[in-house]
Amino acid sequence: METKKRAQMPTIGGTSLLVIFAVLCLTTFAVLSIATAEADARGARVSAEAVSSFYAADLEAEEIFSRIRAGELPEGVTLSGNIYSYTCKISETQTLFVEIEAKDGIFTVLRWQAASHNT
Amino acid sequence: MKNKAFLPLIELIIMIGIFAAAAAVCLSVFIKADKVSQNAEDLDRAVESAENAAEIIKYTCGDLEAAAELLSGRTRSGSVIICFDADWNPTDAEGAVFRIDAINYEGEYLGKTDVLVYSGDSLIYELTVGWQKEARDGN
Repeated sequence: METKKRAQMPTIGGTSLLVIFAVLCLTTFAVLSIATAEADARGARVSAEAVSSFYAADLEAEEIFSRIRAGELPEGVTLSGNIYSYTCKISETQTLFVEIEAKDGIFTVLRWQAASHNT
Repeated sequence: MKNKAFLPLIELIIMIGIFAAAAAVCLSVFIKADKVSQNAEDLDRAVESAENAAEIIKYTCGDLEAAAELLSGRTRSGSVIICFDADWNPTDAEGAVFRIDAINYEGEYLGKTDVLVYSGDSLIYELTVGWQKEARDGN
Protein backbone atom coordinates (compact mmCIF):
# COMPACT_ATOMS: atom_id res chain seq x y z
CA MET A 1 0.00 0.00 0.00
CA GLU A 2 1.25 3.29 -0.85
CA THR A 3 0.73 6.12 1.51
CA LYS A 4 -0.31 9.16 -0.33
CA LYS A 5 1.55 12.21 0.62
CA ARG A 6 -0.84 15.06 0.82
CA ALA A 7 0.17 18.66 0.65
CA GLN A 8 -0.43 20.10 4.06
CA MET A 9 -1.30 23.71 4.79
CA PRO A 10 1.30 25.28 7.06
CA THR A 11 -0.05 25.23 10.59
CA ILE A 12 2.94 26.98 12.11
CA GLY A 13 3.70 30.61 11.15
CA GLY A 14 0.30 31.73 9.86
CA THR A 15 -0.75 33.20 13.20
CA SER A 16 2.62 34.87 13.57
CA LEU A 17 2.28 36.62 10.23
CA LEU A 18 -1.20 37.84 11.11
CA VAL A 19 -0.14 39.15 14.51
CA ILE A 20 2.97 40.82 13.10
CA PHE A 21 0.81 42.61 10.51
CA ALA A 22 -1.70 43.70 13.16
CA VAL A 23 1.03 44.99 15.48
CA LEU A 24 2.65 46.91 12.63
CA CYS A 25 -0.68 48.56 11.77
CA LEU A 26 -1.36 49.45 15.42
CA THR A 27 2.12 50.89 15.85
CA THR A 28 1.85 52.96 12.67
CA PHE A 29 -1.51 54.43 13.70
CA ALA A 30 -0.24 55.16 17.20
CA VAL A 31 2.85 56.97 15.89
CA LEU A 32 0.78 58.98 13.41
CA SER A 33 -1.75 60.02 16.05
CA ILE A 34 0.86 61.19 18.56
CA ALA A 35 2.79 63.03 15.82
CA THR A 36 -0.35 64.84 14.69
CA ALA A 37 -1.28 65.75 18.26
CA GLU A 38 2.22 67.10 18.94
CA ALA A 39 2.10 69.17 15.74
CA ASP A 40 -1.26 70.63 16.86
CA ALA A 41 0.18 71.45 20.28
CA ARG A 42 3.21 73.11 18.71
CA GLY A 43 0.96 75.24 16.50
CA ALA A 44 -1.14 76.27 19.49
CA ARG A 45 1.99 77.30 21.44
CA VAL A 46 3.34 79.35 18.52
CA SER A 47 0.00 81.10 18.12
CA ALA A 48 -0.16 81.88 21.85
CA GLU A 49 3.37 83.30 21.80
CA ALA A 50 2.53 85.50 18.80
CA VAL A 51 -0.51 86.95 20.59
CA SER A 52 1.52 87.48 23.79
CA SER A 53 4.25 89.27 21.80
CA PHE A 54 1.71 91.57 20.16
CA TYR A 55 0.11 92.57 23.46
CA ALA A 56 3.51 93.10 25.09
CA ALA A 57 4.38 95.55 22.29
CA ASP A 58 0.93 97.12 22.57
CA LEU A 59 1.41 97.63 26.31
CA GLU A 60 4.84 99.19 25.73
CA ALA A 61 3.28 101.53 23.14
CA GLU A 62 0.51 102.50 25.59
CA GLU A 63 3.10 103.21 28.29
CA ILE A 64 5.03 105.50 25.93
CA PHE A 65 1.75 107.20 24.99
CA SER A 66 0.92 107.81 28.64
CA ARG A 67 4.36 109.37 29.17
CA ILE A 68 3.79 111.63 26.15
CA ARG A 69 0.46 112.67 27.67
CA ALA A 70 2.31 113.44 30.89
CA GLY A 71 4.50 115.90 28.97
CA GLU A 72 7.60 113.79 28.52
CA LEU A 73 9.49 112.99 25.33
CA PRO A 74 10.59 109.37 25.91
CA GLU A 75 13.66 107.93 24.25
CA GLY A 76 12.96 106.62 20.76
CA VAL A 77 10.05 109.00 20.16
CA THR A 78 10.46 111.53 17.35
CA LEU A 79 8.48 114.76 17.23
CA SER A 80 7.77 116.21 13.82
CA GLY A 81 5.66 119.33 14.08
CA ASN A 82 2.91 118.17 16.39
CA ILE A 83 3.11 114.48 15.50
CA TYR A 84 4.85 112.01 17.78
CA SER A 85 6.17 108.86 16.08
CA TYR A 86 7.67 105.73 17.57
CA THR A 87 7.87 101.99 17.08
CA CYS A 88 7.68 98.96 19.35
CA LYS A 89 9.11 95.61 18.36
CA ILE A 90 6.63 92.73 18.31
CA SER A 91 8.90 90.02 16.95
CA GLU A 92 11.84 89.54 14.62
CA THR A 93 9.58 90.18 11.63
CA GLN A 94 6.85 92.49 13.00
CA THR A 95 6.83 96.00 14.44
CA LEU A 96 4.10 98.19 15.90
CA PHE A 97 4.13 101.65 14.29
CA VAL A 98 2.52 104.48 16.26
CA GLU A 99 1.80 108.07 15.28
CA ILE A 100 0.02 110.47 17.63
CA GLU A 101 -1.05 114.01 16.89
CA ALA A 102 -1.11 116.54 19.69
CA LYS A 103 -3.29 119.55 19.03
CA ASP A 104 -4.53 122.01 21.63
CA GLY A 105 -3.81 119.49 24.37
CA ILE A 106 -5.88 116.79 22.66
CA PHE A 107 -4.09 113.64 21.56
CA THR A 108 -5.32 111.78 18.49
CA VAL A 109 -3.96 108.41 17.43
CA LEU A 110 -3.24 108.65 13.70
CA ARG A 111 -1.60 105.26 13.35
CA TRP A 112 -1.46 102.16 15.56
CA GLN A 113 -0.43 99.51 13.12
CA ALA A 114 1.36 96.17 13.33
CA ALA A 115 3.31 95.63 10.15
CA SER A 116 5.93 93.23 8.90
CA HIS A 117 9.36 94.50 8.13
CA ASN A 118 12.35 93.03 6.38
CA THR A 119 14.93 91.69 8.86
CA MET B 1 3.95 13.44 16.90
CA LYS B 2 2.39 14.55 20.14
CA ASN B 3 5.07 17.25 20.55
CA LYS B 4 4.38 18.59 17.09
CA ALA B 5 0.66 18.92 17.86
CA PHE B 6 1.44 21.32 20.70
CA LEU B 7 3.56 23.67 18.58
CA PRO B 8 0.68 25.57 16.94
CA LEU B 9 -0.97 25.96 20.34
CA ILE B 10 2.20 27.33 21.91
CA GLU B 11 2.70 29.66 18.94
CA LEU B 12 -0.89 30.92 19.30
CA ILE B 13 -0.48 31.60 23.00
CA ILE B 14 2.78 33.48 22.44
CA MET B 15 1.30 35.55 19.62
CA ILE B 16 -1.75 36.45 21.71
CA GLY B 17 0.58 37.60 24.48
CA ILE B 18 2.65 39.72 22.05
CA PHE B 19 -0.49 41.25 20.54
CA ALA B 20 -1.92 42.04 23.97
CA ALA B 21 1.31 43.78 25.03
CA ALA B 22 1.51 45.78 21.79
CA ALA B 23 -2.18 46.71 22.01
CA ALA B 24 -1.74 47.94 25.58
CA VAL B 25 1.20 50.15 24.59
CA CYS B 26 -0.58 51.53 21.53
CA LEU B 27 -3.74 52.20 23.54
CA SER B 28 -1.79 54.28 26.05
CA VAL B 29 -0.26 56.21 23.13
CA PHE B 30 -3.72 56.87 21.67
CA ILE B 31 -4.94 58.13 25.06
CA LYS B 32 -1.92 60.43 25.41
CA ALA B 33 -2.42 61.75 21.86
CA ASP B 34 -6.04 62.56 22.69
CA LYS B 35 -4.99 64.40 25.85
CA VAL B 36 -2.31 66.40 23.99
CA SER B 37 -4.81 67.31 21.30
CA GLN B 38 -7.39 68.39 23.90
CA ASN B 39 -4.82 70.58 25.67
CA ALA B 40 -3.89 72.21 22.35
CA GLU B 41 -7.53 72.98 21.63
CA ASP B 42 -8.02 74.41 25.12
CA LEU B 43 -4.98 76.66 24.65
CA ASP B 44 -6.28 77.88 21.29
CA ARG B 45 -9.68 78.71 22.81
CA ALA B 46 -8.04 80.32 25.85
CA VAL B 47 -5.95 82.60 23.62
CA GLU B 48 -9.01 83.54 21.57
CA SER B 49 -11.11 84.30 24.66
CA ALA B 50 -8.31 86.26 26.34
CA GLU B 51 -7.77 88.32 23.20
CA ASN B 52 -11.52 89.04 22.99
CA ALA B 53 -11.63 90.13 26.63
CA ALA B 54 -8.51 92.28 26.20
CA GLU B 55 -9.92 94.12 23.20
CA ILE B 56 -13.24 94.79 24.94
CA ILE B 57 -11.46 96.11 28.04
CA LYS B 58 -9.35 98.39 25.81
CA TYR B 59 -12.53 99.55 24.06
CA THR B 60 -14.25 100.37 27.38
CA CYS B 61 -11.02 101.95 28.75
CA GLY B 62 -11.16 99.79 31.85
CA ASP B 63 -14.87 100.30 32.62
CA LEU B 64 -15.43 96.95 34.32
CA GLU B 65 -19.22 97.18 34.42
CA ALA B 66 -19.45 97.85 30.68
CA ALA B 67 -16.87 95.16 29.93
CA ALA B 68 -18.69 92.61 32.09
CA GLU B 69 -21.92 93.29 30.25
CA LEU B 70 -20.28 92.89 26.85
CA LEU B 71 -18.44 89.73 27.93
CA SER B 72 -21.44 88.10 29.69
CA GLY B 73 -19.47 88.12 32.93
CA ARG B 74 -19.78 89.65 36.38
CA THR B 75 -17.73 92.12 38.38
CA ARG B 76 -16.13 91.48 41.74
CA SER B 77 -14.00 94.01 43.62
CA GLY B 78 -11.95 95.52 40.81
CA SER B 79 -12.09 92.57 38.43
CA VAL B 80 -14.30 90.94 35.84
CA ILE B 81 -14.99 87.21 35.98
CA ILE B 82 -16.26 85.30 32.97
CA CYS B 83 -17.08 81.60 33.33
CA PHE B 84 -17.22 79.10 30.48
CA ASP B 85 -18.47 75.54 30.19
CA ALA B 86 -16.54 72.69 28.55
CA ASP B 87 -17.50 73.97 25.08
CA TRP B 88 -16.37 77.52 25.91
CA ASN B 89 -19.89 78.90 26.08
CA PRO B 90 -20.47 81.57 28.76
CA THR B 91 -22.10 80.05 31.83
CA ASP B 92 -22.57 80.74 35.51
CA ALA B 93 -20.00 79.87 38.16
CA GLU B 94 -21.60 76.54 39.08
CA GLY B 95 -21.08 74.87 35.71
CA ALA B 96 -17.74 76.54 34.99
CA VAL B 97 -14.89 74.51 33.53
CA PHE B 98 -12.86 77.52 32.36
CA ARG B 99 -12.66 80.99 33.86
CA ILE B 100 -11.24 84.37 32.86
CA ASP B 101 -10.22 86.83 35.56
CA ALA B 102 -9.57 90.38 34.33
CA ILE B 103 -7.90 92.43 37.10
CA ASN B 104 -7.43 96.21 36.78
CA TYR B 105 -4.47 98.31 37.86
CA GLU B 106 -4.73 102.06 37.33
CA GLY B 107 -2.05 104.75 37.23
CA GLU B 108 -2.37 108.44 36.50
CA TYR B 109 -2.57 108.19 32.73
CA LEU B 110 -2.23 104.50 32.04
CA GLY B 111 -4.46 101.64 33.12
CA LYS B 112 -3.49 97.99 32.88
CA THR B 113 -5.56 94.84 33.02
CA ASP B 114 -4.22 91.35 33.62
CA VAL B 115 -6.31 88.82 31.73
CA LEU B 116 -5.85 85.37 33.26
CA VAL B 117 -7.43 82.22 31.82
CA TYR B 118 -7.87 79.27 34.17
CA SER B 119 -8.84 75.65 33.60
CA GLY B 120 -10.04 74.69 37.04
CA ASP B 121 -7.27 76.07 39.25
CA SER B 122 -4.51 75.85 36.60
CA LEU B 123 -3.48 78.97 34.75
CA ILE B 124 -3.33 78.16 31.06
CA TYR B 125 -2.82 81.59 29.52
CA GLU B 126 -2.29 85.17 30.58
CA LEU B 127 -1.70 88.53 28.98
CA THR B 128 -1.60 92.16 30.09
CA VAL B 129 -3.36 94.89 28.14
CA GLY B 130 -2.89 98.64 28.59
CA TRP B 131 -5.36 101.44 27.99
CA GLN B 132 -5.34 105.20 28.35
CA LYS B 133 -7.20 106.65 31.28
CA GLU B 134 -9.14 109.80 30.61
CA ALA B 135 -6.91 112.77 31.46
CA ARG B 136 -7.98 115.15 34.18
CA ASP B 137 -8.62 117.77 31.53
CA GLY B 138 -10.76 115.37 29.55
CA ASN B 139 -8.19 114.32 26.83
